[in-house]
Parts: sequence; structure tokens; C-alpha cells
Amino acid sequence: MRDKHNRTGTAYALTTFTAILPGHVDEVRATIEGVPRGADSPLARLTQLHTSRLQIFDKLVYQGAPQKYDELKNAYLVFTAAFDGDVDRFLDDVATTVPEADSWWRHCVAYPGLADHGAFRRWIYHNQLDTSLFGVNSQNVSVSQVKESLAARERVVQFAIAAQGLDATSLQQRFTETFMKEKAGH
Amino acid sequence: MSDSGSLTDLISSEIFNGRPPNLPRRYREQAAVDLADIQGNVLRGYTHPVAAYIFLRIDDVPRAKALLKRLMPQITSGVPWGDTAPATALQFALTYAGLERVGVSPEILATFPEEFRQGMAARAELLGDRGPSAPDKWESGLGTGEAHALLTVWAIDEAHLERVREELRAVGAAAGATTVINETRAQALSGGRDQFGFFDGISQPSVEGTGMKGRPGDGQPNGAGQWRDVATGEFVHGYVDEDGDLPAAPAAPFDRNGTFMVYRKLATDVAAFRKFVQEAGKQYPGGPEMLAAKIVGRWRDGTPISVSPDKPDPEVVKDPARINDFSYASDPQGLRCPHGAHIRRMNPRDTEGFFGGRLSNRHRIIRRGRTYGPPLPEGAMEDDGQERGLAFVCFNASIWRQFETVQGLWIDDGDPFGQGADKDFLVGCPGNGNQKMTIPGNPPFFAAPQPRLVTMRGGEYLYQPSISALEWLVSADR
Repeated sequence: MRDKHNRTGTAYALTTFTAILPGHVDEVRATIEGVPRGADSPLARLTQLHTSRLQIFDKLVYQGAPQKYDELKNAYLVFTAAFDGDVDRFLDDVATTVPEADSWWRHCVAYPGLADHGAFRRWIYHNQLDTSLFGVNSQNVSVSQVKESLAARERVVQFAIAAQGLDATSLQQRFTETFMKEKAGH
Repeated sequence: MSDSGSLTDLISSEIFNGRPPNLPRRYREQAAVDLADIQGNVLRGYTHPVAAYIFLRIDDVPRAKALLKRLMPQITSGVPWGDTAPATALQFALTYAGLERVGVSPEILATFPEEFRQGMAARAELLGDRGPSAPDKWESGLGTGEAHALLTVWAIDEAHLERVREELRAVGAAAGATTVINETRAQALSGGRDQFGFFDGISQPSVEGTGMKGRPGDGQPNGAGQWRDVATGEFVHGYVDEDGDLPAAPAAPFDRNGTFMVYRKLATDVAAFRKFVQEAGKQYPGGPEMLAAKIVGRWRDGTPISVSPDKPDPEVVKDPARINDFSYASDPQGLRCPHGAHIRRMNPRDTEGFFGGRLSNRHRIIRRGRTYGPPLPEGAMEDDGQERGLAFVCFNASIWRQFETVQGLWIDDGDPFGQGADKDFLVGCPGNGNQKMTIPGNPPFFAAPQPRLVTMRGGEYLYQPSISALEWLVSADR
């Protein structure tokens, strides 16, 4: 059921709006601004993760003329993630490998902590909204497959550079040496 | 060098005027922008043969204001000066630290954008200024917050330049007003060439309303196979930009006729370039000169390889209507001009993925750089230990949207052009040693590994106010 509106191919998109406790907004903002980005992000430990974003919704901009802000009665911490495979598994992996998640969610209403995986999953599902529309770069290929392909591409490119200008016989010999040996080694 | 002109032509055009004979004049028409209030070097290039980039620390604010007031008559505006250039032309710009130092109010300071407030050194990672180019290796006085202002001096000869320099010594230093903390003397190389030996400065955006008629290729593709001028607001605050709106600008009096200026002193390793081209050129079927042209996107004389892929064509270079008139949409595979070529990265025009130019039009910059240092002698293959390079200057309404996009995403990354992690082969900062340039063909040729050809010596983000804002700054009653 959950999959119906949140999955494209093998990729699942999770969207959660968790209400921030009164008076905690500045602290959450400082916390999420301090989370390292890219390869250094604690979320980068999740090998199935395509992309993820943490942001605060406290006002919404009316996108017409005249532009104006709609202040919300309550601020929300919005967590979005697109990943491969099963949602339960993903949330268990978050609970196990991303202890830093406590630092942003502990400011949210009714957060049960990460220790009880079942309680954490139930809390996330309670605050989940259907994603409906989302984009991932490779919807039927897992993140690890993409990484493997990129590594293979890099090996081929480096081979092509090193083998540039060789005659056909030497090229074949070099190819066999480089890739057949590699295959045998695997 | 000038194969058509007489000696008299050469003297009048190059020595007295500094204008290389191969640089065609641009046509003029009525201007629709306030040229008298915009500092002169923004919308037009100066051809004075000598120039100096003088960074000042302001030691005493009232005295520094008095000094600036003295220099004001020499600060040129954008009003055309006819056939004879003034003997000296000055431009004045301030860093964020400089604006703070001269007492601009916190309310106004807060309206300057974040990248400008942070300064260039703080943005080094994003710009690719790493390793030998990192800010801790920069020349003294740059990137430390010590530089308050940049005085750019253009002069018809060294003697006139010295006069301004003397004024800085006598009035600036002696009176305790300002201290020169970094200075680069620049001179145009013969034939308008850069240190690598290429005719440079050909392509500039033609700007709406300036009265300078653009040549085909200077502006943006208009979607009908022709070219249109770029909106004024991309380069000067207070005018409509490519989005059809007024660009975000600082508060008054900095909201109109001013612009952001980027200064980067880039040392060039010409011997390394020559050696690379010679060695790799032995393997490249087209030979060393064609390899050099593929790396740059133009032959040394300025002929675009998109127009003439097999050889330089003096007829094209001579013709203002052809020297910059080419499109990349007709070359999707990069068989004429590689996707990674320097000029294709710096200004992707209508390259595939840029939606006919709709994704390049907000990232144009006006370049006003000058070479510095003596050229490496013709034919020399070893470095002579002389410092040489380019004092790179550009103007844009938004440093973040324009210069930093070009430098951070188009030079320091290859993704926007399908080039993976490869950087601009000519000016990019080589990373892990795996960087290369792919020259499409059958088979393709890989230029690798990327040598370090350019090293950053230091730079600053500056704001170049309008003439009236400068007058406001020096006025005593503030």
C-alpha cells in the first residue's frame, strides 16, 4: 500500500513531516546546518541511499503575485530520502548506523529514539506523507550497481589512455593482461 | 605581425593606442544606459599598453578619502572618449573589508550578498583553488582581509603610470592614508596574445543598451539562428537582467550603475604547456598545433576551430562578422570543438543540454584581464624562472551566479558537459592525477594526464561602485 505512491522502479521515496517542539526550531536549524554534506554525511553510510535532504518548513511562499509568506502554526522538520529496496530495512539501517539522527529528531514531538527499532518505524510511518512525485537518476538500478558501473568505466578509460596508440596485437595483449587477469582474480 | 598595415598604421594603432592591429573596433550607436555614471572599464575594454593592479590598505579613513577625491578626475566613466585615449584611466573598487573600513553602515553592508561578504579565499574549495593554488600559498596582502581597495591604473606608457604611482607614494603613503600591499604590473603582449601564445579577449558578451554594436557570436543565440545582446542587468546593477527583472543589488547608493569585480592573479607555466603539446602531439594524429587548438577551442591566431577545424584561417580572423560567429548545436559530438575545450566550457553557448542557450545566458561574464610578466621566448621548452601569467578580471551582477558558476562548475568540474571529473585542461586545477581531456574522433584521443598549467597567486572579490557612489563615499559630510 505504502509502495503505491512512493515507489518508482526499485527506488522508494520516503517523505516525513515531524512537528518540532515549541522553542526548538533554532536548535534544529543549527543542528542540520552542521550536518556534513556529501561523502562526509552520516547518511552516506546508508549504502542503498540515492539522495536525502533535511529541511525545516516554518513558512511557505505563495508563488503568485503578490508573493507573500504563509507562516505555519507549527514548524516541521522535513526528512526526505530516496533509496533502493525495502522501507523497513532502510529505517532499521538508519537506526543502527546513523546514531546522529538523534541530534535532529530529538527536537520533534513524540520521538521515541532509535533504540527500539519497531517504535522508531511506527513513529516515522505515523508522520509519513505520500511522495507522489520524485526523481532519482537511476530508477531501476541500485546505488551499488551504479557505483560498480562507474568504477568499471573508470578502469576502461584508464586502460584506453594507457593503451593509446598501440598496434592491434599489442592492444589485444594489453587488454587480455588487464581485464582477463582481473576477471580471473574476482 | 601586421601583414597588411604600414609602419605608420602599426605605430598609430599598437604603440600609441595599444590596440593590436588584429583587434577590430566595435561599431557604436546611441547608448541607453547611464554611461557617465558607470566606471569606464566595465562596458568597454581598454587598450592602453600598460596597467597596474594596486591593492591598498586604508590606514586613515579621512586621508584615504582625500586621496580618492584627488584621483576622482582620473577615474574614467563609460562615456566614449573619441579617438584619443586619455593618458591615464583609473578604476576604483572596494572589498567587503574595505566597505566596512570606510564606514558604510551595517544596514547597507547587510545587503551585499554572502559570497562577497565571505571573500574569495573563503570560497577556495568551491572555486578549485587547492594545493599550490590554495589561499595559504597566495601572495601577501591577498585573501587575508587586509586588502581594502583595488586601484586599477591604465596608462599610455610607463612614465604616465609612474605619475599615478608617485601620487600614491606622496599623498597615500607619506600622509599615512593608504599602504600598497600588493601590486601587479601588467602589459599587453604583442598581437593581443595570452602567455600561451593565443590571441585572447576575442569573445565578450555584447550588452544591451551600451551603444556598442555586438558582433555575431558575442551575445546569446536568439533561437532563430542569430544572436541577440545580453541584458544590461547581467553586468550592471539597476537594469533589467535576463530574467526580465532588476537583479538583486546592494542598497542605495550601491543599487545602480555599480557591479561586482573578480580579481585573480593566475600564473601560467608556458613551458609545461609547450612540452605537453609537443610530447602528446607526437601521438595525436593532427599533430601538436591541432592538439593545442583542440585544448583551447581556437587556433593560436584566434580562428575558432568550430569555424575552421583543419587549419587557422586569416580571412576568418580579419572578419569581425566571422571571428566569433559559431554555434555548438551543430557539433553535438564535439568533433570540431571538443566539449572539454576551454572556450566551450567558459561559454557553452547553445551546447546540447543548455537548451539553445537558455541555460548559459545567466552565467556570462565580461572579461577585462591583462597579461603580466615577460613572454617566454619563442621556442623555449624549459621554464626560465620568470613569473608570468594573467591578471584575470571579470565583471558581473552576481559573483555567485556568474563567475562562481563558470569557475566552480564549468572549469573545476566536467559533469555539465558529460566530461565526468575532468576539469578545464588549460586553466583547471588538476586533482588526483587521473584528469584528462577527451578529444572526440574515431578513435578519440585522450590528452593525459592533465599538467598544472595555471597556479593561483591570489585574488579578491570587489565591488566597483558607480561614479556617483564614489562621490558619496568621499563626501566629507557623511
